[in-house]
Amino acid sequence: MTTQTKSKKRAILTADEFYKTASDSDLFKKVTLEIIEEEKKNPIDEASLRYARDWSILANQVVGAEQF
Amino acid sequence: MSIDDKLNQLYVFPISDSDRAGHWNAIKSKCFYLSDWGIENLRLGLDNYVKTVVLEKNYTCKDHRNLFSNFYSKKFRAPDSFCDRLHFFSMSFTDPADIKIKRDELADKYLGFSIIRDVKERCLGRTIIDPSKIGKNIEHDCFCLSTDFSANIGGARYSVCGYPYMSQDTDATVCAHSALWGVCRYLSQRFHFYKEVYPYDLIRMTGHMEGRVIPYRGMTYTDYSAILTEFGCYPIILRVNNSGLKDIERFKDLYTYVESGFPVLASLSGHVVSLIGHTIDKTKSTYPDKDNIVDSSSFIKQFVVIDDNIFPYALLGYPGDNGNYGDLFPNKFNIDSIHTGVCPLPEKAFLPAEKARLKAVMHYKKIFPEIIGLGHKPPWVVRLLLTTCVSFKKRKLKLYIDNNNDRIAYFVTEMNLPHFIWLMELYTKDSYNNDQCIAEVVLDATAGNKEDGTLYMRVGNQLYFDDKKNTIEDVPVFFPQYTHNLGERTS
Repeated sequence: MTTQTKSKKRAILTADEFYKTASDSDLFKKVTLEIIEEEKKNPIDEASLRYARDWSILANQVVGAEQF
Repeated sequence: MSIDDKLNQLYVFPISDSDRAGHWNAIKSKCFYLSDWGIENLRLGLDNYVKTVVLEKNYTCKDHRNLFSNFYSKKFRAPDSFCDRLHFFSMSFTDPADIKIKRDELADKYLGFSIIRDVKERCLGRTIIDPSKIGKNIEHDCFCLSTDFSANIGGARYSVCGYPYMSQDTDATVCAHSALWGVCRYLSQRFHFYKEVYPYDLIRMTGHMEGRVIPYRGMTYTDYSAILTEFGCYPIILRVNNSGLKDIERFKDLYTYVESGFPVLASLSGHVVSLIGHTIDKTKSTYPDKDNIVDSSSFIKQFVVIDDNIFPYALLGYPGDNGNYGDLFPNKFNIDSIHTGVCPLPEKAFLPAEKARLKAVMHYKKIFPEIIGLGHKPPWVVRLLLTTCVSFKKRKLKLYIDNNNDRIAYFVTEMNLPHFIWLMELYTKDSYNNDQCIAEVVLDATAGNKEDGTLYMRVGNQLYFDDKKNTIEDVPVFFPQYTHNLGERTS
């Protein structure tokens, strides 16, 4: 008598399965559009400006030379 | 020549609780360059753990030899170009031969090593200690960077997983050099594409506009940027304290880079240290912002710090924290003293933390009603970090294999992802306490702000991908926090 062992195949999510029953979503597009709209309202990139200002203050500062 | 110069003799020193000071003095009698400062600092970190110290004489240290060749050898009375090396074990033994013959038995008990240089007072050269073996581990809610190093002792190879430490010699190098050396050595040891650099390389790379660079002089942020760039990093500099006022948003960014697994060079009180991890206190009182969101940086208890003035893995806490190591120094300092952070980023992390955070939060804000509809309640906790696609997929695959139901985790391993991604996890307060996410959004770190760089988003068992949304059956609603960057070992 032989014993037949069946290994149970792991269930995976395939692309076919995902796309077949998926619905459309514009979430990512909405976020991108909102960012673009916000930037239009304020053409100056505050983050870059702040970084540039900080750098002009920091550039020649000594970062550490002390012993204590 | 003495016999010591001809043989690589090993000396074994047992360290018993009864007379620790006496045992360390015995080591000093053979290890001539070990200063009182060196003993004090080694004991500070090792006293509760070390049971045996092994002294290896005549060690040629590549870092000390580099400084010796370029600087010390030019002195009228040059110090010794050779060093001693101390090895620390958490097991008692007395026979020097055991180190070689019983290597397999001792390997797990190896805490690490410290090179002792012929340098006045600040004698501790390259030192690698495994933090997990001296009480700085995940079980203690302590997360910090470490990578694999090895020590060959007479043919026996010992491994140690730690972060490189070296004290400043106060002659050629200062704290800025020691901190930079640690960052560069950590990166070159962990990632093969960075070239190994030595202490004098850092001095050589320092700009000459201010005149001579040896004997020591402090570095400027311009020097820092230039050196890290030449090394192969793409540094970003964050001013987290503006005229005495803490900039909360910049502090979040600083924490994000630490959480992402980058050693961050932090300036405080005229001194420089490396932030290499943190401890957390999930019971801390936190205050949600206008969107009912708490950033996970609010739960930091202490930063794990490499400060060349003290034994590695010191804990930098907030004012009033009894465990804050900054209180040991005359100019007491703490987390709030940090005024600037230099973060050595990889090239392809174009999207900075600040913009990634904004973008990721915008996704969540749009679907908070849906998330509440799933039965979750604010306040929300968010955790942002930058990671590699390789580490992320590795973690997702492990999650799938360990938990067969999480088919979304498997699907992530099939996605075409860039080298670097921004990940923002979303939790409720309760799920954060249990390290379980309720949602995650993944962004392309190379995408510009105006580009649609969202790679996917998961909310429980719902998956948003490629402008589609699907609810996946039989998938857990909660999934584990991503812990690779600071939580896992390389070995």
